[in-house]
Formats: sequence, C-alpha cells, structure tokens
Amino acid sequence: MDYVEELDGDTILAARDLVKYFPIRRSVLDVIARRRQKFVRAVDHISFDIKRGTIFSLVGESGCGKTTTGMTLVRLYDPTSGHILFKVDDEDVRRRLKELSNGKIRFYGDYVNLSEIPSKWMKPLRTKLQIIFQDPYSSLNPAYRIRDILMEPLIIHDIGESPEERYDKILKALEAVKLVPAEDIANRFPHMLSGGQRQRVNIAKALLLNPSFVVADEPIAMIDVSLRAEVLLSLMDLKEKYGVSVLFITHDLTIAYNISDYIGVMYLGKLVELGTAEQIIKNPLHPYTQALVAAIPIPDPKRRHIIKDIRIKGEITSAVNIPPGCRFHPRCVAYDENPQVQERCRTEVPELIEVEKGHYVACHLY
Amino acid sequence: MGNDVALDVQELKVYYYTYTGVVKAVEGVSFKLGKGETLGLAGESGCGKSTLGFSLMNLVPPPGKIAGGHIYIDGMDIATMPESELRKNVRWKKISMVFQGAMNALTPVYKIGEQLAEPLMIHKGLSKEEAMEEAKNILPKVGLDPAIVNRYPHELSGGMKQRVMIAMALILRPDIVIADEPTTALDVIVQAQILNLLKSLKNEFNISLILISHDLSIMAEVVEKLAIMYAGKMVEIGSSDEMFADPKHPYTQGLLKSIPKLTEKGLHYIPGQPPDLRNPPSGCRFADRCPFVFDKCRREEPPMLKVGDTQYAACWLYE
Repeated sequence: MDYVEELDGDTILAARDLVKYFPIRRSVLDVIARRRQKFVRAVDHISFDIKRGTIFSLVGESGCGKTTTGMTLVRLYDPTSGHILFKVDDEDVRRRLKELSNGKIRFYGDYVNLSEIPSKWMKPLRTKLQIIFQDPYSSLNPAYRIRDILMEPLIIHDIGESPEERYDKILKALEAVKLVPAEDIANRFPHMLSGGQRQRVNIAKALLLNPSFVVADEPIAMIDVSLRAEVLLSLMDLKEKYGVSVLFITHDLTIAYNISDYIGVMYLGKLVELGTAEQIIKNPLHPYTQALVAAIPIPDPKRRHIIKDIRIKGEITSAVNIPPGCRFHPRCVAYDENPQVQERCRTEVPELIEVEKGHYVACHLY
Repeated sequence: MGNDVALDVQELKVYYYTYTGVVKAVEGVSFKLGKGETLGLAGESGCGKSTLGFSLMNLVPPPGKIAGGHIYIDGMDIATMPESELRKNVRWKKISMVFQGAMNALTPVYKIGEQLAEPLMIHKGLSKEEAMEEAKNILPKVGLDPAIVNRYPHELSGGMKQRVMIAMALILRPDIVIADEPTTALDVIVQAQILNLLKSLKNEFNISLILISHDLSIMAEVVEKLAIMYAGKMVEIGSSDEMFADPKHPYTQGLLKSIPKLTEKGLHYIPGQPPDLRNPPSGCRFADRCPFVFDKCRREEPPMLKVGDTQYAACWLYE
C-alpha cells in the first residue's frame, strides 16, 4: 500500500480517506417502495497525520463528525472504508499481535492498518489506543472504589506480576495526575470526587496502560471554568512527560488554541482546514473557520456595544442530504461575493491544498 | 422604591429542605436592577445563581423555598405573594424567564404557534386567532420566519428553539426578563447570533435583563453591571467595566484568570472546591481556597464593602 511510504517516522497515526457512514433505519414502506438506503455521512473521506508527542485538536460544531472520527480511530466504531495507519513500536505488542493472529497480521514496516484488523485481534493494541470521554459523572462505575476501577485494565491486559505491583502502578498513576494523597483517593468511591477529579482518574486510567495515542472527547465540557485548567494540565503532561499523542476533540476554539500544536477544522464530515494552532486562529483561511473565529466571545466589556459581524448564513444542513460540490457553499458568504467560483463550489468537492507551509485548506477560493 | 428601579432584592434567602439536610443555596443576597439595565449574575455550578433566578419569579422547585428576605417589583413583594396573585399579575406579565436548555422547555406535542399563543390567551384574554397573529408578528423580531408557527419543536434546530423561547419570554412585553444560561449547549456561531439578538432586543423592547451564566466572556459581551456569586453568597458586584479592569474579590480575580485567552496562552485554575452548602463553614465561604486568607476570614463573614465607584466586594482585605 503506497500510503505507508510517504509517512515519516514521527507519525504515530495517519488517517487516509477515512469514511464512516451510519445507515438510517428504513420503514417497511421504504423497503416496499424500493427507496435507496440513506446514510448519515458522519465522516466523509478525511485524511490527516498525528505526530508523536503532539496534541492535535479536532474542532467543529455539533454534528460535524469529530466525535465519530475519534471513536473510529480507536476502533470503537468500525470504519466504513479508508485506512488508519498506526505505528506499533512496542516489541511486546507486536509479539502478542503475531501470536493472536497466528502470524496472519500484516505489518507495513512499523505500522499496522487498524481498518483491516478484525476485532478479535485488537486486544494487544488496546493498551496503546485509549479514549477519555466527556461525562465524568457517568464514566466511572459508582459501585467500585477508584483502586478497583484502576485495577481492571491492568488485570485484563495482564500487566504487573502481583497485586502489590499493580497497586503500586495505580498509586503512581494517581500521583501523575496530581490526585494526592494517592492512597486516600484510591480508597474513595467516585461520588466522593468532584467532576474535575473524576476526569483526572480517567486520565490516570488511560495512562496506566502506557498508550501511545489517546483520544480525549470534549473532556472538560462538563467541568466548571475555574477547574478546567487542572484537567487540561494533566492532559498536557501526558504529552510532555510521557510522549503520548493526543487527539483533543472540542468545539471550544480558545481551549484548542491554548493547548494544541495542530488544529483540524471539520464541517459536515469533512476536514476544511488544517494547520498549526497559530495558523488556524491567527490566519484562518476557510470561510467557515473565519466565522468560527469571529464568533469567539472576548472577555472585554468595552466591546458590548458592537454587534458582531459573523459571515455565515442559515443553519447547519443535514448530514443525510449533503449539498453537492462544497458542502459549505449554501452557508458561505464568500460564495455570494465571488461569482467567478460559484460554478465550481456547486459541483466540485474541494480538496485540501497547501496554502502556506503546513497550512491546508479545502476551498475553491484558493 | 425609586422610579428608576425595576427590581429590588433585599437579604434574599432560598433554602432546599432535603432529606440529608437543609441546603442553604442562597444566603442573604441583596441587589438592585435599574430600569433598562442589564445585570449579569455569574458563578459556577452550585453557587446559587439559577436558584436565585427562579426565586425572582417565585418558581423555586420543591423542596426549595424562599426562606427569607424581599423581592420588590413595582412596589409588590414577590417573596410573600400568594400563588394565585403571582399567576394573575406577575409571572410572564411583569417578569419572565428564558430557561436553560431550551431544547427541553418546549412541549413536543404542540405546534410552535400554539405554544406562543398560550400566554396571550391566558393572560391577555386574546382569542386564538388574535394570539396567533401576535405570534406571527413577534417571530421576525427574533430572526425567525413567521411560517414556523405551524411546525413542531422537533423540526427546529437548537438555535431556533432558543429564539422561540426568547420570543415567548417577550410576548407579553414584561419589564424584566431573566435569561438562564441562554447559550449553553449551543454551538459557538449560534451562541454569537443569540447574543447579538439579546443585545438588539433589550433596546427595542426596553427591558431590564438579568443574564445568568458561568461564562464570563459572554457576560462581557452583553452586561453593564456584573455580580459574582460563590457558595450562595454574592461576593462582588459593580459595573462591568470596573469589574473586568480591576476585580477586587480574590474569587473574581481567580475566575477571570481562569478564562483562556487568544491573546496569550496560559492555563490557570482555582485549587480546591466549593463548600458543602448543607454545612457551610463559619466565616468567609471562600476562605479555604483563598490565596490571601487570614485569621478574621475564618471567624467572621465579611459584609459588602465599597471598593470602587460602583464596586462592592465582600472581603476583609478591604476593611
């Protein structure tokens, strides 16, 4: 497969033409009338690279497909088509994969293609791919103490030679996310911890398995503003101290700017712009990104007399009936202002092109 | 009560009488809202701001109750008014509310037009036809097509439902509107559009607006006066300009510092957590988390002290 040749050793995960469609339930009438199967095109041919030890934020509004992308990358959803190349450096994991698959697993140099690995062979890889969810109140089993919740992944993956060794690892993981005194926290039940503390337990849990890639899906959306930084700093430690790559899914561009190295902007299942955090926020190129940046509230009371000019029309369209050509064109003010590109916008899907080094945009204006 | 004061709250106490104890959600809060003024009530989860919002319409859900204090609107004390009186003359006519999570506040089985018409029929005695006409007239003012009177809530997006809620709050032309987290759960672009809408409507309808939110950035965009609540108490109040330029209470300072910015990268937080309101600490409720705490803070609760032209802070640092 030719994708692999172009990857440099620094890339830990590469998505190529990733697609995830969800079929819509058809009624009896639909079947009888032989209507075509409709799909929610949640993720529609996206490609991007995540480098080792970086934080990549996937931003966009609700329904853009960012959560589906995160779930598909860690194989909680099976991709409809496309490739997910994942670097497996760990000798132990490679050995276990070969054993489990009776040698049938295909390696592409250092990479495996997660799209072609059946679920029954995924187990060794699951230590390397972790996910942290949005809701700290429903993601921890309320009937177990923190130490038992943290023991579970170690037992499942057969990590540690003895219960004492495992307990030691748990304490170290709690200390790594600054939940101290660790013995005290380990002994508590989830309801005895705040939202921010619970989320840090989730981070500790992900850390225990020594992952190389973690998806964090809106991990601070349900936490108070003055407590968010505590969780974010723990996430950034994952990258800085443990060399973990993080895919940070959020709708909050300001947070994305403050913690990421790279930002990818999604709209209705497609990546419309990609670049460093600095490039995306300080020099947004795609009309949609420009509208998103213009909409960010600024904590400056002197601006309250200003009615913001946000250059976007209408509402987000359905992910089932996707507009032809560029899917953003019905809402694009730049489309109205540039009659010379309108024909292309209506008929041709724009591809991502590099406009400045490392900064890509999918728009016919460029 | 002065002629330019729309709302006068004095020493308001709202408690929840639960099985595990009495939660003192709002403990002695006082403030005034001027006519045509926009006041922001900011604070984090559990500080009592939503409870305070509900109490202004005497709508606190059981086991909550107004346990003391006064709420004066037009010379009447809402806190002690009987339910029948509140329903007839106050709620929706003098003061209305845009609830949090508009998605869930609209009845799914009635059309939008019917839901907008209802308050007009009940409170102003209009016929169904007249009320529907009114409904069609108000929808363009919130940026919606009058044709949606015939749609059901599930056919509208979150932003559109929120606009319907705003129209509903304005339909009887009340003097005071409370907006409780009107943009939480909305995407950033829709949020900006709703804030633009609130800004233009407050002038057009000449209302006094109370905006409740944990998001100080949106407060800055809309309000003239800002009040900060912590653990059931009001800890600072003043003009928005003064508060953002020079916050005096350590909690306000921490809160402002925690807002991530685009101008400089940096992550700050306030260590610790708010106290359990069933058993609030003696003295200042912020003492445990305050970087400037000293002896007196833990012994005695600070009153509101004048710290600026319009600014008051409840902190012993300013004695």
